[in-house]
Amino acid sequence: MKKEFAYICISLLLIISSCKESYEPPNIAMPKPLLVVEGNLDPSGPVSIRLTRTVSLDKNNTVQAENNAQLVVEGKDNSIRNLTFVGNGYYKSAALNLAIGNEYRLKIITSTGKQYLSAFTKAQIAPAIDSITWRQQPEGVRLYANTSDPANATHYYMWNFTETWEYHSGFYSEVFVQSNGTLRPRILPAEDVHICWKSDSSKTVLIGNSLKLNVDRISEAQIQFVPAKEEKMSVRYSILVRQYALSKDAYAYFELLKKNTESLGSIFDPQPSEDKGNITCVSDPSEKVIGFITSSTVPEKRIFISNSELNDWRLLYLECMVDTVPKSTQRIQQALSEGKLPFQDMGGPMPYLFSLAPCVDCTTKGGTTTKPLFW
Amino acid sequence: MRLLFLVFIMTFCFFTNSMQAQGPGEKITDDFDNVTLPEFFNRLEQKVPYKFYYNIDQVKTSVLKLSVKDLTLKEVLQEAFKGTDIRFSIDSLNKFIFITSKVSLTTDLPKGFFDNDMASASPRSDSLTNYDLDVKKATKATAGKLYEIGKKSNQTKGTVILTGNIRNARTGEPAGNVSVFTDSINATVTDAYGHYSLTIPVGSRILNVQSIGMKDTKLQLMVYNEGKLDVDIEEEIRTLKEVVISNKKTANIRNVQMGVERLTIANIKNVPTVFGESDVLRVVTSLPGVKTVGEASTGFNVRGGSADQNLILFNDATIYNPSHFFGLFSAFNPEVTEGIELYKSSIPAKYGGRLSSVLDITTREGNKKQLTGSAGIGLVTSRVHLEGPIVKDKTSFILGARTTYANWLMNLLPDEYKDSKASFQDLNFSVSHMIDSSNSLYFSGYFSNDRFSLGNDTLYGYQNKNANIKWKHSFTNKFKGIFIAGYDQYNYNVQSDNNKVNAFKLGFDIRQLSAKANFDYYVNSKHAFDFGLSTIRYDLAPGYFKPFGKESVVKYDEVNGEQAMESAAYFTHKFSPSPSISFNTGIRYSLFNYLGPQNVNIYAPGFPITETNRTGTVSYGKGKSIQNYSGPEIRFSARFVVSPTFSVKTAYNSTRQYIHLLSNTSIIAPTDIWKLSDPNIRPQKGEQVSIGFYKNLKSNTIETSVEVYYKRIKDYLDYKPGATLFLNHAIETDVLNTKGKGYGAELLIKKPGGKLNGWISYTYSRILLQAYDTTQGVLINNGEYYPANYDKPHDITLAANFRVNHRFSISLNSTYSTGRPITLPIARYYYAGSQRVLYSDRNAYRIPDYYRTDLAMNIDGNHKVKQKTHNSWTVGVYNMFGRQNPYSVFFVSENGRVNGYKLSIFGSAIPFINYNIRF
Repeated sequence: MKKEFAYICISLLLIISSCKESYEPPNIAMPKPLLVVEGNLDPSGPVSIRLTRTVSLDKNNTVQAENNAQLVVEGKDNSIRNLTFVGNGYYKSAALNLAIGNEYRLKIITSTGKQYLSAFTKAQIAPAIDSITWRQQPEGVRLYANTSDPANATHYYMWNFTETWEYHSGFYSEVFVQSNGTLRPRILPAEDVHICWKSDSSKTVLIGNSLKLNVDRISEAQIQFVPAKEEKMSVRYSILVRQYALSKDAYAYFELLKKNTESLGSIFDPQPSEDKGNITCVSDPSEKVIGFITSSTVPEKRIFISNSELNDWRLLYLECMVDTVPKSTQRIQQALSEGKLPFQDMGGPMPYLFSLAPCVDCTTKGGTTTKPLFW
Repeated sequence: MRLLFLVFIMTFCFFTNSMQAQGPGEKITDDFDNVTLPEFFNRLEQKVPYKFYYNIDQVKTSVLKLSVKDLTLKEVLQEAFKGTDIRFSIDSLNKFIFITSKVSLTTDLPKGFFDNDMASASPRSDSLTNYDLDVKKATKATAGKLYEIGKKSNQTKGTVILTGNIRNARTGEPAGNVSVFTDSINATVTDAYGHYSLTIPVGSRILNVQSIGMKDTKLQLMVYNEGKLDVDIEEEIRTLKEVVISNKKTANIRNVQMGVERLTIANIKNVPTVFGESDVLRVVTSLPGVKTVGEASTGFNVRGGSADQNLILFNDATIYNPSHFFGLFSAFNPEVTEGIELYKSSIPAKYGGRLSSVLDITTREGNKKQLTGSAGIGLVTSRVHLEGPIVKDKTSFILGARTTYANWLMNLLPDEYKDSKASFQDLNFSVSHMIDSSNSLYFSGYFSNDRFSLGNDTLYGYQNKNANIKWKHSFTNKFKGIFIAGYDQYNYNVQSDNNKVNAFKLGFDIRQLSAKANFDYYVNSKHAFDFGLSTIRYDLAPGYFKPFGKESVVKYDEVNGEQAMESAAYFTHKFSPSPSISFNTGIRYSLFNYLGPQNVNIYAPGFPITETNRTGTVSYGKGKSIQNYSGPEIRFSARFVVSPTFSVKTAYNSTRQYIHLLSNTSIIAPTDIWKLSDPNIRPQKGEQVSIGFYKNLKSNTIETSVEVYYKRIKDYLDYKPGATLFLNHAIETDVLNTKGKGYGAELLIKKPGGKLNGWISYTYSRILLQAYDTTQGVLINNGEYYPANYDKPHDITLAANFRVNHRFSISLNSTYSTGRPITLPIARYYYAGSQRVLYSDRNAYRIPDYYRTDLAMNIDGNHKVKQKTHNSWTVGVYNMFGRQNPYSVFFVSENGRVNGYKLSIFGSAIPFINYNIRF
């Protein structure tokens, strides 16, 4: 509501002034990109920490990885465990076997020699996910996480997920385009591009708490919403939800991160404010570091949803128009350059049938034809 | 003429002498047979040592036949003029005899004329009980007259109190802010009702009555005792020859209060404004110590206070939204406005409920003599006003109305807003009725309405409705009371019915009923008191969202209504131990009661007030007292007059505020929500110390001042990141208490009169807030001090008016200020699966500085006094240099990049023209 008013208000002001100009903030002091640390010190499972740097606002969406640093997990019991750099800012380790209840911290020494330390964090056990439930509503399918801690000790929860779905192209392609642009019959099933699987991961901070309840239970915390008739559920859909137990401070950090950054500022938007994580720069305490290192086991749960379980979720492939392309090299090249692909040879002098690439080859939508192991 | 001259000579001669009355003793025997009077006088002069003074024209025609034997001079003259209209007076001291026609001269001055030390003829108490309310009335026409104050037989010594009312002779309206004085020590200023109380020594005095735009009036007084003198003063009609007036105004030096700004509508009209519409609030923002965050915001900030910390009173009615049309216009009709008073530092104890300032706007009383009016046409608004007597000299009314035709502006909107409409109206109506000399009744009503729709579906609107009735009663000459009862309402609403299924109506409103009794007791020049009681009953509907129309399926939601009583008792003692030292000591005790019905959320003590820490909800029944807050507020100020043109003032003020404006934008937006203090939201408290130096130069024609202040604010509400305000059932979880400190200096050079008049001011001020309470969870900027949204350290304003001649004047208004603080996104990073924006510390950056110059020319029609209508034109340019002052800076994500934009509201020079007609 407020937003709408804001927009209208701006429009009105604009006509009076007609004066919206590009603005480069002066002297934004961002001399060095700040270090961003993301990861969870799983006491029992493999650990992956990613180091990146902030980028200036006017750059395109790129992730600037911080490579070749040394990462060490230090315990209050003076234990030391090293992580290994694996590329693209990722640092990994097999199971660290941290003692539950003991406190650990992450030490980072960058390639330039700067040293960073996270606060000591108690290694926590996250209770298992009781169930992942879902409900179909007219606007789409909502998926929920349900969990409970009989020990009444967790209270603060965070989730993330990886979703995978099977989808089909509109047409079954029997024609293969060779690298030189000529066509030949497709070798099936090896070259089949009709059935694909695609994965994506959560994009938002998903948190919840049980403080309002007398029991430590989360009932139906929404973790994903799939809008009606999306391709994701056109055949079969699967979601793997991971659950983390958070400390109170970590919860506050992620709550603020969510409020601050899941919408960008306009003038009537609420005022954002700085979110302080649990990592500091030892070499230069005034340097800000972004991120919060947590330490929690990561119970997982996967569910599947078949299209047959849904009501009225048929894909119509309306955008998949069929084109007939005569068997002339020139006409074929032209169709290919228009982003179309052949799927059927009518035989003899008859033309090829072409359609838009995503209607023919499911891999053009980013999926893979390799069936995931869990499928 | 000669008579007057003689009186003057006489006065001069007697100046150093005390008086005695006795007849001449010599006996005269003579025979006068048909002698002319000059001859008769000559012969007498030879017999007695007296000299005769007479007007030869009056006496030369008369002849006298008279025989006297052993008669005194007096007896001779009595005999001679018996039955004629010739009169004589004998001045035995100087041996003068004055011959006059019809009236005799008094050669002996009244008892006590020169002698203030002589014994009182009657005891003081007697003079009070026998006090005769002998109301004298003086006008310019009788300025040469001698006015006797009090009964001669009842004379006292020392000083007495003269009271009365000053009125405009032409219209009969009370004249406020008029200086009434005999000298620099015995001086006062009339209140809004034209009433004054002046302490003056007994004896012969010259009483001066002065006001801008009015003729200076001098009255000769003979003061015996307390009395009442009403004076009608005439407006100054501009003559063709320039009149040099040396302004003897010393109010800025003499006034005990500091940090007070007074402006008359004439001052206000001299300042050019956008669209040429005289704008009360926009002029207020050009005063030192007053700032505004942007052009489309009528909210203003006084000495680092937020926009909701200003009490805006319009004829004693509280106005919650003083603006029209997104703040482009203030909601007060300049035609009926008399003037404004802004209290920045010493807020009188009779005002309360807001932390930073009181802006008191008064309307004129209607013309009590004849029906007059005016009308004006501008680019966006038209206005009309009418005033006149209902019962001549007793009852009058004044009516003002304004409306807009801004729809043409809307037609310039992009096509998607083609059916947009915007309109506003305001209406003022006041009636004043004088029951008798000690009782007056006033009724005042105000209504403003704003409606706008953008596109054809959503209609926004807000209304102010205010009405009050006032009874002014003089118990005695020294003890007066004012009783006010009023009703104020403000509401805001939005409705949309484009989509029948989603059609909704939302809004909120505030209603308040108030009653107030204020008493003034003027004891003498050393002591005066005012005291009183006030109470306000609040009734707030903080927000509702409901389906609109039958088909609508939107879910009804409403935040529980809030009720409270805010009461206060106050007492002020004005004490002037000597003419050069004055103290003004006030105390106000305010009491706030939060009342049921209400459901109050309970939070775990010692933990941040967040949803997660809520432990329960308690329901209270109707009228049940849920929470009380109370406390004293101190209002103290002192003045030391070092010399007649130099004074030093100091003040300490503390204030409390129980109603808060919840807004996460930095301006007053119509969508902002008012919230009462409740068990989870403490009242705001503020205190301020200030010191000021006031020096007048060049025979008081130039006023200069320096004021320095330091203030502290406690429990000011700022917002947690991502706060939602509307329809928030637990609003306390989205706000956090901050404490603030503000300090600054204000320099002002003002030339109130003359061909070139105006002011230049420089203000340095800072306001820093700190989220200090570590139990509140996430602290803003790590609990460090940060500048408030409206912190603008430097501000220079020039407002000048140059009167080229009587029909043409030029006004220039120029202002520069530091840009207001903003929080900028400064970088991006990738976290938890997506791109995120990193923000700077709160308010760590500033938008570019603000600079603007406006020019206006006022052209008056001819000044013939007797013509049906007077008309005038105002032509000007707003933002003359077309500078694109950024109102705001904002960022949008476009194609994977975050781009910054700055928005200017008036990004080019805006010419305007206005036509005014007065009848």
